[in-house]
Amino acid sequence: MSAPRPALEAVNLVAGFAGQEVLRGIDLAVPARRITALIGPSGCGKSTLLRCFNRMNDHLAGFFRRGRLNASGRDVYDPAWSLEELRFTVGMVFQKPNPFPMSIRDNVLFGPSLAGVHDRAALDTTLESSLRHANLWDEVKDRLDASALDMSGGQQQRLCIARALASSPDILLLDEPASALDPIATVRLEETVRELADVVTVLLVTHNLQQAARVAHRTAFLYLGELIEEGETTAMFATPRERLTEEYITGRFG
Amino acid sequence: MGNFTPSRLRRVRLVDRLVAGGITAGGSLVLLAVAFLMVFLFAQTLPLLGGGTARPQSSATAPDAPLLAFEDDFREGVIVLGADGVLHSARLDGAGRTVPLEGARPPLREAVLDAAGRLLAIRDAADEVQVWAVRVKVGWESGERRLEPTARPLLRRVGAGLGRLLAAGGDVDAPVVVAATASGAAVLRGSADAVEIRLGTPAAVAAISRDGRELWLGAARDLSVFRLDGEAFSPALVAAVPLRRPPTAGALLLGDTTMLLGDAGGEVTAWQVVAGAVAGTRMLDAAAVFTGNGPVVALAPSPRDKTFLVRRPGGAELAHLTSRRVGLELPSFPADAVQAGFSPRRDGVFALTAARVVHRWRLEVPHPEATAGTLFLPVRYEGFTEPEFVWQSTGGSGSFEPKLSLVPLVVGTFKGALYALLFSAPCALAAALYLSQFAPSRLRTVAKPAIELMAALPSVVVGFLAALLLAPVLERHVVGVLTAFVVLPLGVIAAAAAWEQAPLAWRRRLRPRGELLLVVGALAATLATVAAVAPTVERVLFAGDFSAWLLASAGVTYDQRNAVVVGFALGFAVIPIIFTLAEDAFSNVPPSLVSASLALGATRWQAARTVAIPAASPGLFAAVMTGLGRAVGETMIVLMATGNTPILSLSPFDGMRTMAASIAVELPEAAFGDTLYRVLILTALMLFAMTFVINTAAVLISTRLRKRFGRLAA
Amino acid sequence: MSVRRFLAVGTAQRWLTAAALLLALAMIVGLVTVVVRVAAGFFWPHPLVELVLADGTRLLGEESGRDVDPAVAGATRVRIKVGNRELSGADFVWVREVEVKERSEPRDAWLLERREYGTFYGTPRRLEGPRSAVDATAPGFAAALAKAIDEAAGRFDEERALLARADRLHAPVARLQARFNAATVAGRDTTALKAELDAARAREQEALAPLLERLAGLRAALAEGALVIATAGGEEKAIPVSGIVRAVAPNGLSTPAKLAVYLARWWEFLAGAPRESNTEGGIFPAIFGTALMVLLMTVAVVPLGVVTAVYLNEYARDNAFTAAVRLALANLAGVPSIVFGAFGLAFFVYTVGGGIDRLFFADTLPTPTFGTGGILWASLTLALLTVPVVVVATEEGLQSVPQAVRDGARALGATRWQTLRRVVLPYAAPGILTGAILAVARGAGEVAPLMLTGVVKLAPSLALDGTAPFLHLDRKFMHLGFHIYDVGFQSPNVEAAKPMVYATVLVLLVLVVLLNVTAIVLRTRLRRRLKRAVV
Repeated sequence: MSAPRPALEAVNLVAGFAGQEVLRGIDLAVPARRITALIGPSGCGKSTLLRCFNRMNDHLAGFFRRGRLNASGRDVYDPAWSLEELRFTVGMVFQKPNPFPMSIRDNVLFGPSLAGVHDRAALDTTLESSLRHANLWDEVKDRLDASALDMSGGQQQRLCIARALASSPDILLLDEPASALDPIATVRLEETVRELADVVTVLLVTHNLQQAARVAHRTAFLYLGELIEEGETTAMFATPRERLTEEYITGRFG
Repeated sequence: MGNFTPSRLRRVRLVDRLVAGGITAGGSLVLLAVAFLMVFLFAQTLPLLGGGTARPQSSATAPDAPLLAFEDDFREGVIVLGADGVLHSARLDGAGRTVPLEGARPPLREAVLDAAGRLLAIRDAADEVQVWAVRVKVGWESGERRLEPTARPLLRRVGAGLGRLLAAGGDVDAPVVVAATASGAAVLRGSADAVEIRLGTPAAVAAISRDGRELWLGAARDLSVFRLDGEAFSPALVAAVPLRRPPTAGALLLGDTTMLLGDAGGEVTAWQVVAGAVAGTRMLDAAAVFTGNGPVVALAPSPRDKTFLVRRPGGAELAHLTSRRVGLELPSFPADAVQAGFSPRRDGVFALTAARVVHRWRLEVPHPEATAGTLFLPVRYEGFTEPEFVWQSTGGSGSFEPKLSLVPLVVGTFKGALYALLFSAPCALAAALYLSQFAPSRLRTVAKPAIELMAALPSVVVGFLAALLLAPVLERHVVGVLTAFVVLPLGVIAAAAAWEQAPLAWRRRLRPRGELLLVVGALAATLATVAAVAPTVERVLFAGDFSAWLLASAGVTYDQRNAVVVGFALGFAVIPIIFTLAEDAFSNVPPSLVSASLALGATRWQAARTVAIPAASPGLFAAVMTGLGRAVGETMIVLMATGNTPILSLSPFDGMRTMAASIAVELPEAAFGDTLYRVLILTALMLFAMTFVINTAAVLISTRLRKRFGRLAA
Repeated sequence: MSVRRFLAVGTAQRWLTAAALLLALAMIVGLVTVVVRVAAGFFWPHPLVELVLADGTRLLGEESGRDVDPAVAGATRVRIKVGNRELSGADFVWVREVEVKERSEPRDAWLLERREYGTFYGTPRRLEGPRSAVDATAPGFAAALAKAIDEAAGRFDEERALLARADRLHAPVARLQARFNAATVAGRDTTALKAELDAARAREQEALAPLLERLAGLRAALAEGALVIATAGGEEKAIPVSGIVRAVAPNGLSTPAKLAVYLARWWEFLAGAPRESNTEGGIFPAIFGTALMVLLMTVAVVPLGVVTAVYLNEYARDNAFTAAVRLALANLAGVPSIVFGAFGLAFFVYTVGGGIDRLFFADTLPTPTFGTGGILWASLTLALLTVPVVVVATEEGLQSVPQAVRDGARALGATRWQTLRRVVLPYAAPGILTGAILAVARGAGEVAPLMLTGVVKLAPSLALDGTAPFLHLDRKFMHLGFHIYDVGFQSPNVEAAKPMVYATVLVLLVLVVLLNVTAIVLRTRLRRRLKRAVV
């Protein structure tokens, strides 16, 4: 599905908390079935931007926003589109692994169970395919009923990816998914993320430039709430158009 | 996989909204519960404030020339004695019966009824004085209730030469009638001769006690009380007092200790016999004077309490002796009333008129004895010579006058709480300071749960041990224990001073754990010294027996269950509360503040004194307040460890009775809706209000504290 | 060193604060030690001593205390429990040591625990059976006595069961009688009721007949057999075997045998019914009443407390209303329990219970059904009292749930309620459990409100039994805490009952401490997690 229509789109997005603008007029289009990385120094608003797309910011006190936000071509604030459905379409994985205190199986099938799916066979298929996409199946297939809290950090994070995939979203938001992991687990996670592009559109926030370079097809650079530059990763890392981008990539600040 | 189906989505969202509503409602329930609790308790006490009502009811018709009337227990009818010598029972629904007094020759000249409504004395046309026992039986006949008056002759005497019949009294076995004579009064009884009592002037009013032995006679110039002794009923003057105005009406109140005299000046004076200035003598004392408009025509005592009815030409009103409450007017009281009185259960008043009508009122004066005055101010009860604060809610007899002053309870409550705080507050605050600032950290892991367990100990256990273990021990070793309280701190200070003289090398090597051991040693040594010396001290200073010495030298009695025991036991319960909150307050002081002070060269004590204690002081105050709240409301400990004597005394060796203990002991016995019940609920409400204020203050203080240091810590 | 310097260094101040903490700890340790020592030693079979006094008096009994002799300096006096209440009138006598001429521990001295009149101390002469007698010196005496007591106990239990059955048979008649009495007082027509009552009486008589026959047989058997025993003074007395609960000759017992007696006595105490106006026997009804009341309370308080905590922690906005709820909660925690008792009596018992009676049990009024204290009203009152305990603990549990976990669930499309139900509440379960346990501990130890709402010194029947509707919410009940108060302060023979009260205190203490320790452990774990969640 390589439609010209972008999977995620922000149009002149201004957003912030308690009157303080964090994002100042972002225009961004994330193409479908690609991996797009959001990079930028701490506090540049990349996480806020990410969380705008599944409206997670709405739960935070003092949040406001102006401008349009589309996901799969539909306004995320469309009153006819419920928050619950939006989040089935736009999945999310957080910085720190957050498995629920239940079995691996129940974790993965949490989304479908919310939607009221009870068909055993379909659930088992979903379970396996989600875990396979998250590169976890072989590690856990023999202990699906074990507690998710007993897994290693890297496994937990991939479980979170599998959990997000189980709701068959069109888009997956990854918020610095490797920041709490050790280097080996990070490598495994990156492999997993790279393969995800086959099934979903991925928007990835990372503060790790190498990670962006290794994983993302496209990269967007945010600085002080503004989108400085966006383009194919290889092109941007090789020949940044903006001086700020170049300085950031070369590590002069950040 | 799978997205929401629209119907499931609708359902899920609906459930979410419903639950949100439900949980919000559930959360408000606590607020509602507290508000409701307060309002409900308040509503239960409200009737105490109201004076009561008297509402006219349907009246009955009396026969010609009615002499007097009385009512049955259920107020279903009125029984009227006519001059024809017949008791006419008139049910209010019309059905009636008549019972003639056989042998009484009409027309009757006069009739009087005793205070209990059991004895009817008449004088018939032939001047014969007769006493009849009258009763109203409620019978059943073909499924219907009927009123059946019965009359049994008890005494017949020719009453020639006697003046007006003044009073009937005594009981069915030995009825007594008093009649006026030219120079005083005559007492008639049984078959014996009349006993003549000379007063100088004819008696105007008289009353006889229910045992028929005490006679009150009011004449134009004085009031006298006689005791009728022995088989012969020979009168002996008990006491007499000159009167300012001749009495126009008199009545002996329930309990036979207060004689009410009304006069033409409109005053009603309550006379009581009290001990005279010379030992063994007795005198009459005006305990209370009730004033009103218009001369007093008649007085009628209530058969159930100290209420009485005052009739004046313009109407009638109710008054109550104990509460001095006057003024419930009976609406549209007939001007031509010949007699008026209470129903047997004091739930109504009737008035008989010459115009052959019996007017009736329904009385709802549920709590005449309770006013703000009787609850909170000193009251002069019957038998007292001075107004006093007394709590004595129940007594042996039906004529007992409940004494419901809340002052002894409030004072007892705070006395116990203060003794408890005196012991627990310093101990708990110091312990919290030590644990948070000076203690080795391993001690914390032991001490905190231990103190938490102390808080969890059921108070009934603490109370039991205090009463059955501590109280007897304390009684025997009171000198030693009291000395220990003073000497222990001194011993520790002395030990510390001694330690300061120890070589520096030793002191340098001392870790907090070692210090703790030293303190244990100091405490043990001091205690051992006190235990060894105390018996000698008691022998030398107090002649070997402290309580005897106390009684002899200071006139103070030593109760085994006293305020010291309570202070100790209640303190035991309060320590963990103060300790926990104080420890929290100290922990909330950011450690950086203390560290900064230490870095400037302060000793750990100085850092604590200049930084930690001032910063935590609002929290410490809140902790002590909360402890006070707990001490004020604690029930089982005071119930068991005090003697529960409601006396007003601040002596540490006296017991007391607290509000909480009174509620626990007396509320189950109090009948729903009666005065004691409502007063005890009022007590509970007062406890609630006190602790509400204390707790709210504590919450506000600690919230403010947390905010202040929340910013500092962040 | 100057005073000023001494004060500045602050050793004395520090030591004083340490002394305060030590004092507090010593108090709790001392209290627990005393209770454990007295209670644990009480059931041990102590030796029986026989004393011959200077005036020739002989005493047999157990030593139960020692004191300074007030008359002679340096001497002591002993308190001897001499029992034999119906003969001597007093359970205890004080004996001055100086008057004791002889002291022995005779091996043939026995103590009999009896169903009435307390303990009997003496030397058995013979056991008289229905047909034969066994002499106390005969080798099989102890076994024969044990067997006779055992048989009598079996009959006694059967008699009790029969009486209970008779009681149940009487229940319909009692109900009708109450209605009949009420109707008579109120002046209603009673002919129909009278007929019904007579029919019920007849049915009862019919059903009762075989029962009474069996009962007569049992009673005849129970009257058989007596132990003839001599007091220290030589007076002989025949004690019916059926009146003996246990016979022990402690002076001749080996340690394991003593231990067996000890455990048997504990078992009787925990599982048996009280005797002699609660001063002897067991406390089972009190344990049962406490447990049932606390269970009912938990059913009421946990939902309310959890909902309130969830509201405060998950739904409430930071506004004045929330502040008011918090203030109400703090006050609920601080208001004296007796105020709740007064409220429970005025509202639950008189208003709600009275209302129920007027609506559903009007035909037995003025005898109240729910309009008097009962286990339901007591547990509801305590539920109100313990709400803050559950709320505080549950809130702590909720706060330990990491925000990331909530976010995770929300990001998967869970509604607030779904998040709460599937993730947050399971996560907070230890907190809720802690709250429930603490509430139970508090409820088990609270006495004052119960005194107003339905506790009694002796409940004729448990609130849970085999007759429909099985759970009798209107019944009054016994309670450990109240038992302590009642037996320790209201019983006719406080001195004799004291050790029993100590044992009851120990039971209550163990219960409360166990519950609290469990809660503390649970909470410590929760707090560790909370720390992790915050980091």
